[in-house]
Amino acid sequence: MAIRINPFHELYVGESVGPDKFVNLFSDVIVKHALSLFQPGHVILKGLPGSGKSMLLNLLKPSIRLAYEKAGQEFPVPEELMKFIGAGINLKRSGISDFGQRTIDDQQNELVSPIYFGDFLNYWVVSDIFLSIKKFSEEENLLRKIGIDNSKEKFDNFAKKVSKLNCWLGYMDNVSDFESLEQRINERITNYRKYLNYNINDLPADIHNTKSLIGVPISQTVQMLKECGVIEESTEVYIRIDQYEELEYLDESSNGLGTSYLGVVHKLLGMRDTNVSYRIGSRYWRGDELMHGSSAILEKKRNYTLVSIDSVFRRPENPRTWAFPEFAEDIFKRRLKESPYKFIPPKDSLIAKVFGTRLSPSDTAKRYVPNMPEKAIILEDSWPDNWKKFLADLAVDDPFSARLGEAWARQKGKGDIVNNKKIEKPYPWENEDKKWWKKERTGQALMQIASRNRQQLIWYGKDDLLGLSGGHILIFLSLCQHIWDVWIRDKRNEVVSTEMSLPPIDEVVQSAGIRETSNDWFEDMSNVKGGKERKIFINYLGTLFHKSLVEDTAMSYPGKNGFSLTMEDFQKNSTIYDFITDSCNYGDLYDASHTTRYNNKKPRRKFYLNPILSSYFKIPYAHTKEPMYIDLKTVATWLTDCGIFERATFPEIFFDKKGKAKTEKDSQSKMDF
Amino acid sequence: MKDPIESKVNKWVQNGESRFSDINQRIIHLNHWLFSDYEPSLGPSSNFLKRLGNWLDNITDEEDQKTLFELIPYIFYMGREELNVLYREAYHKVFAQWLIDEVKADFTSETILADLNSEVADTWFCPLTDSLRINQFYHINDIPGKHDHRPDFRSLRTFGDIEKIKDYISKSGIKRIVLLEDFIGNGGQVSKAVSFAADNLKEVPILIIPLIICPAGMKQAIEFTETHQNIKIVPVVSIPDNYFVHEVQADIELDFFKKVHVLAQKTYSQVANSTVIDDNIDPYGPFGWRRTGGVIVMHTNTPNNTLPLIHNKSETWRPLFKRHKRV
Repeated sequence: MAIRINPFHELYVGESVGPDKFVNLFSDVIVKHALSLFQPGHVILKGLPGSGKSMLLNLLKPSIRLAYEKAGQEFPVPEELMKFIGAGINLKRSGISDFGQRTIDDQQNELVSPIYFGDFLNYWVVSDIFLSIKKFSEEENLLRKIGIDNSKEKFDNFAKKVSKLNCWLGYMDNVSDFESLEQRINERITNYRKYLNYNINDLPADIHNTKSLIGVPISQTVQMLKECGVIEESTEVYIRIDQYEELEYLDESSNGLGTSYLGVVHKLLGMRDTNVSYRIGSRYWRGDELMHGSSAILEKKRNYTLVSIDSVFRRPENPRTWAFPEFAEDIFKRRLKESPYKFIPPKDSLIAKVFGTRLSPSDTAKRYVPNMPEKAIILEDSWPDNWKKFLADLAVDDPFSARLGEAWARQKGKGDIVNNKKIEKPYPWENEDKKWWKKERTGQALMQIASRNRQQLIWYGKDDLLGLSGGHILIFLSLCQHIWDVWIRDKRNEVVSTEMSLPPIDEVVQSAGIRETSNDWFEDMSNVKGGKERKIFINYLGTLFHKSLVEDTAMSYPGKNGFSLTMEDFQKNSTIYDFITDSCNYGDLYDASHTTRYNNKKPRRKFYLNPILSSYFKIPYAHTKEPMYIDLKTVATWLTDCGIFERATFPEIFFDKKGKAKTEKDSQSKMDF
Repeated sequence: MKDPIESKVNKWVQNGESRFSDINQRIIHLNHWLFSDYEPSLGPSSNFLKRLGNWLDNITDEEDQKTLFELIPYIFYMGREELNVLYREAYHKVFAQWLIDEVKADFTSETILADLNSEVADTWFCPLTDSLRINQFYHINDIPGKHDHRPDFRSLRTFGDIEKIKDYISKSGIKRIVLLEDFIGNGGQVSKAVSFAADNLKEVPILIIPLIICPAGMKQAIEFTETHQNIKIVPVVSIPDNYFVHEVQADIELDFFKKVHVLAQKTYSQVANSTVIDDNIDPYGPFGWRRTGGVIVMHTNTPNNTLPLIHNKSETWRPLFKRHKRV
């Protein structure tokens, strides 16, 4: 018997699917935004979990390259950039986190442990370079394209020469051919693992005495591979370091060693080596990263190029240049093609075919007030009867327009309209020259109508799905997954036809699925490091935004679903800076620089909730008009109000030099709309 | 939306009661992992969600439907796996502790394990009534099957010959008896069997292990052991007093149960298909047997002191977990 399956059941496929399936699921749309990955030079690939980092880095893996070759599919990288060998390490899977579970030197572990960590990394990566080269031997065609000569003579000659290099400090002295070289490397890696997992009492002496310098054996190995003709001079070698942020987690278990290990990785980038280029996938990158054993900071552009997937796909000011819809569309189509659902792809949008497009604001408003349209508006007793009757009549036909009319009458300088004897179409709030006034208030008007009628906001259609995803593909897939789940539940009593055609999914099902996604997203916030506190803060903000938007009956400030700080204020207090920055790095807040409306021209940064939380907090996701302009004291007050920090944490903000609480007069605290 | 449950939930959520979305997901989860093994419904109406739809549609008042829906995650459902855990806990914790005390085990002795195993072999594990699956208890705990006969003492009391029982105990070298029961509500059903064992087998120590016991049963157990020195009663799970829909709305009752209390009374005539409330006629009033007001369901059956609106089938009521009745 056929059963309905959810094509989005598995959210993460970057790391879990085999190479053959990867070829079908990978969207090449992302590649053109990250071409630096396939060019020489170190690259930091920054993106939230599930943003597509691992998918992209997978393209550097030989197994994926081979899968494309075997499937006869074009490798999704420009031809002129295809001549490379990828190798690397996944810090989560390689067991490198085991360095946090056993000290190496009881007396001076903090000093020496990073050295051993670097040594392990060197040997692991060198080993993986060899594995990659050998992997390509499965396809003659690829060997030629990449420029690899895999003859045994070449390999053995290389092994003899490379083993004599000083970088090994004598550890490779007895190597006679490629096989013994590999053996020696594997022996070292195995000994590390045995030791870190308490299977042996100490590391062998020949490891203690031959600790290598981070990056040097990797670089010299590649250079020798080229000198010996195993790989061509023009073949690039790219080294992936994935799950970089895993190292930070070691801080808690190993007395700050995680930070030292990060410094070791930074040192690799600081080498400015021309033999190999490193690719680091990470959830965050602060920009002030220190190199181990030095106070030098890595410099963007000089030491590395930063590619932020989040920035690439986040909605820009001009939606026409938004790259995410194309990416989401491609991923959506590929997922469905892999599923048993049969469909003919439409010329325009498959997402729109399944989920439809949004109803007009007027039609949406009618859904919120199906029986009592007059509840869309609130009339003031002081208004003339004529105006009250006009709005009440209008609410019956078009509650959305009536709500805009109500707001119009409440706004400064527009209130005289209530005295007009006759108001004719087009109403002032619907005039062409007021289209931005209307557009900026659409979300707020609808949420107020829903709120006045105790209704949940309705979310559905392609635009809402993309808007709520906020340019994050994991959220988009999660939305699809939940919607599909609700759809399957709704159909559970219906017999499935053997030929499953792609269903159009109605807006009620979509809205339920979106609500579930949003709830889950909010609940799951506390599952990661520091998430409990951030969840409290986000809850505080979401509630504040909702209240502000609902209570603003004149709809004078529709941008109150975000806040803005001057960069000067933002960077003034390191605790607040770190907390807000972490909230952005974990995707709880979305941030962007923006132009101030003040004459002082001070640069500012604005912050919004992750759009997927809009459903949970019942606020619009669109960022219209100016956000709340606030100062540092307001943020500090929020953080103390919700109990995350004590007021004493911010003495310079709340207290004067004598330790007395600052009065409102002393402070510059303000929330300026 | 077409599915009756999803439609209802969606309507409630859309009208601002977002908690029903969470409750719905919990019910889906519970259905997947727990409710699907309810034995009395395995035959003709095995689909829990269909039963749920019918159950909600027993009543037309939407607020009452919400109360029924919200009640589901409160149901103390004891599935197959959960019962197995209780079997293990009964043996490895309750029995083991009692045995160690009984034999005054010397843990400095090198032969302690062998000694204890020998004492286990001299213990007779029997059920109090036929609702406890004694074989399952033996299998799960890998108890050596020295004693072939494992009769339930409720039947023994009626059909057994006490002299023959004593003779079997003596010839088999039984030094102690452990009587198990899966569920004790008020103790009425098992009290005679317990008295039978206590009064007639005074020469052997007896441990009674209810896997689950309600407060009234616990009270009776304490009173009973005060007058019978050879009996000890130690439950595995003792359900707290506030986990019942009390007949008289008590302060200890959960706030939500106060709503259920009202609903149980309001719907009783429909649940029982009778306008008469008689504590002696099945289903024994809005709060079940002895007005207990339980919300307990075992995968094997639902006790009669659970709220009848959960388990009673009548011409005017379709239950969520239909109780298999003895008569």
